[in-house]
Amino acid sequence: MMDIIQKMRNKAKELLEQEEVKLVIGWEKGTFWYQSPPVFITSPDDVDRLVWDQFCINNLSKYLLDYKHLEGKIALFVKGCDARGVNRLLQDQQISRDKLVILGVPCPGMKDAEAAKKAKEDQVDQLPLAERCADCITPNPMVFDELIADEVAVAEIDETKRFEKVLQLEEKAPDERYDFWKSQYDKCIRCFACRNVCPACNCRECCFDLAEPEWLGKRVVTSENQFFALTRAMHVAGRCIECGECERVCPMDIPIMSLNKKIIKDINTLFGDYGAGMDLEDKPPLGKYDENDPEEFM
Amino acid sequence: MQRMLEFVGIDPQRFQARWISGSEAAKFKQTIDDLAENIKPLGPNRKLRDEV
Repeated sequence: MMDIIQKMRNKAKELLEQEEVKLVIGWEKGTFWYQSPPVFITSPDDVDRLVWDQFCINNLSKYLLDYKHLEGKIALFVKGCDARGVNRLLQDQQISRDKLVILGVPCPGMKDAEAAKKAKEDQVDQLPLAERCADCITPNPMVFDELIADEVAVAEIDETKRFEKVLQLEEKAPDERYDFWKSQYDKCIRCFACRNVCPACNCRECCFDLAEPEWLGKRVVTSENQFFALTRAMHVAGRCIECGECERVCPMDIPIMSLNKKIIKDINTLFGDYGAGMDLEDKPPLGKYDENDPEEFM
Repeated sequence: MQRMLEFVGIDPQRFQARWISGSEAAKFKQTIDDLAENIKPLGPNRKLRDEV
């Protein structure tokens, strides 16, 4: 870990000193030992704030949208999931590749910060992986200019484990499923944190913000919360990169990823295996036409 | 969408998506008739609604 941090700092320093980039986005140590929030560095003197540990869970790709109009280049550290986010933004033409210096950091999997809250700092090794990291299929970045460390081995994740929660829900009776989602989304306070953090949510104008036309009411009630859930899930369909940021930031602990994974699973069955943001050249299944597409609605 | 509604516990019969061109009046009629026929035995939908 230490030499990775040193390499990250050296690289960031070099890029900033040579004025190749205006900004470096990485992670720093937060208030608590189990948090490594994002850091935005503009001066070579600050590069020592950069860290790399098993709590760098934030997906940094979304922040690129905040600096869309920055003059000059941005250097960004990416894990596998961040890289998929970057690919997604590139595919949506939200950012241009030549304004980015992507520094890949293969990821050993991040630890569960919730479990860490109850543990001591010297017990890091015994902590479980965060749920989303436990079934990660892309620990290594697929888009980068330079790889900071050696690639890590990709664990074999079978479909039943990856879609475990979806399969469990699918087995339930319809009324049980409805009650489950009702109880979950009755908690929703419509803070839109899930949308704000999502690299697939990059519309300049979001349908949930508009008052005219009012696509969806803004009251926090059963029906509107559930329609919010369904609408958001369908809007990121085929673009969700499974980074699990929505679920992490949700203050009410709603299992949002179960909805997203359901759609991913359906897309895989209907259109063949597809991973959003895995391959820059690959067109999303819901954004292209293929003669062999299923035509259930004909 | 139908799969999604099924996943959140809604009867998939209640939602149909069909591709019907403006010149396919007969198909349109048939689709609506089928939908109405299938949906009647299900009764009123109480899900995804607010209790009044």
